[in-house]
Amino acid sequence: MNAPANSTKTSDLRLEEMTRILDVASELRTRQELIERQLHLDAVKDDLRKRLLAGAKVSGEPVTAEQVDVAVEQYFDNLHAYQDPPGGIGTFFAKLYVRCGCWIPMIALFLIVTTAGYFTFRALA
Amino acid sequence: MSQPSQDILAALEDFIAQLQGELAQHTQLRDEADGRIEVLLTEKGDAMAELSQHYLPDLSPPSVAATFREVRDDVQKCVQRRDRRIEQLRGKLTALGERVAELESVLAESTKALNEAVAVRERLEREVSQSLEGDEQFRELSTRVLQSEQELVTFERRVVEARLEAEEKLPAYKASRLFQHLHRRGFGTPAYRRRGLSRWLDRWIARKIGYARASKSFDFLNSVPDLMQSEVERRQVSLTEAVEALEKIEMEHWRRHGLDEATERGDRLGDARDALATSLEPLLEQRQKLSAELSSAEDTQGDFYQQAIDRLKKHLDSLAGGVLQRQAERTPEAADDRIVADISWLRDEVDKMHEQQRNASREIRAAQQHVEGMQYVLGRFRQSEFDSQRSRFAADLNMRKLFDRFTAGEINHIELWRELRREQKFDPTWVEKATQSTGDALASETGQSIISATAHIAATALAVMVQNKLQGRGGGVPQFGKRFTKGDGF
Repeated sequence: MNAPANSTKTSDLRLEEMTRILDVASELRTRQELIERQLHLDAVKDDLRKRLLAGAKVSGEPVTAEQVDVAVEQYFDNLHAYQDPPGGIGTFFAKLYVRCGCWIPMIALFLIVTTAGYFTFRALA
Repeated sequence: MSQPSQDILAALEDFIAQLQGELAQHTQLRDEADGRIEVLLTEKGDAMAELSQHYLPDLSPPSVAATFREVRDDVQKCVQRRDRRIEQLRGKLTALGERVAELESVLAESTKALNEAVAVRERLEREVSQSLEGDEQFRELSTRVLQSEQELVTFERRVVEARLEAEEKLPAYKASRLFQHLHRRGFGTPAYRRRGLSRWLDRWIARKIGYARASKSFDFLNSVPDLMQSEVERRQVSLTEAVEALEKIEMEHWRRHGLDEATERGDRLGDARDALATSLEPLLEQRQKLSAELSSAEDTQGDFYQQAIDRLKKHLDSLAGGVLQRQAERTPEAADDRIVADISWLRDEVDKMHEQQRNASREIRAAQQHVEGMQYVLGRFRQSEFDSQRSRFAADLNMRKLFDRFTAGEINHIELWRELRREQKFDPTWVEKATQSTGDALASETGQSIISATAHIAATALAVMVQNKLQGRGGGVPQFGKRFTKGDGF
């Protein structure tokens, strides 16, 4: 009687473990592929150049090999670069929120500004 | 009319300057004589050497027999010393030559054996090379190793580039408050726990800054360079293992064809040959040195000959000019006559210069004495304050005559000084003059009556003056006719 229940439990466990193991293996494979790609980056860039030139030829785009080289280099130069969003009301409130560590001062200031704006509008109107 | 002291002083100073000029002239003459004597002696030495060489052209027995009787024994001793030294050197050279020949013979054999070993090694290397070419496993492995080595060079460069990229781009992430806020909270990961408005605001910021993409890039920059480095190190290890495997295969082929033993034998032979060559070198140097010394000793005009010449030269130098001349006339050649004539002339010149030197020294001594004497007189002149304005000399005092007598030796400096002193006197001061005229006036009858009136005043003034002097207050009381110096001049 116990045997069927145990085998179901065992098979569930095995499935869970197997899935986890597969996930880990998959991650390892992905990581290895990433490393290989990075180590062979010159070949990757060459391949990209060739494909871009072929594509441009097919589409009739009048682009030269030098222009493609420059574009490819610029792409990789900017690939992992980061820049904060440009200044504005949203960025200001976002930074205020982050600086204070909670949303209360931000909301309070937002309410003050909107209320003051409302009454000013009414007075002018 | 008397003569002022300044004139006498000027005359004294001029005369001293004149004496010093004469002293300098005599000193120059003496120095010239010294220089000329040195030159003449050098020329005489050269002439003597030439004459010696003429009388003793070499150390051959006929030349030695024909040389001067007085030095024949010494010259003969030089010859004997030379012969002994030649014999010694020849003996050493013979022994050394035998030793060198022995070593050279062993070296030749060693070289021959080494050449054979090299030929064997080259033959075996060719066989091993062909054998390796035929080994498929070796071929594949060596191709792989070559490719891996080239790849590794590229990969190492890539790792450096990745690190540089991370160093350049990570600061922007770390400086961004918005990014760091979400990263610290673990946004997008199972660790994120915020709810409600905080969660809504975090999502809004994440959309604003493109956090999903940015966090992946951030993780990439942080981790990938290290992962790449680890991969390169792993491949390095693999490459090392592959190279070791390759070497193992190569060694196996070496052993099979006997190349390892042949190489070992060749190394042993090479070391032995090097040791032989090293030990031979100092012997060759020594042989060369001894050969050079032997050549010099065998040279008829070598060091021993020079010793004989020096001895003969010394003897000829000691002979009088007449003796040399007679000797020169006895020989048929004219060369020695010419040399002896030169030597004779040089000797006469040297004698003349010596005479000039002696005369100049005598003059110098006399001039020095005159200068010192006159400086004594000048010193006393000044000490006695004869150079003061009140100092006068007799009108008939003739300084030129005094100086002539002094230089002629008729008087010495003490006597000259006494003359000057005799002819000198000081003019009285105005106080002394006044006292003198007062004395004349007081001698009359009217003067006598004034004496008693002024005597009391003078006595009081004198008493005060004496009192002040005794109490050391003389400086505060003006005193007429007070001397500035200890003498009478000022």
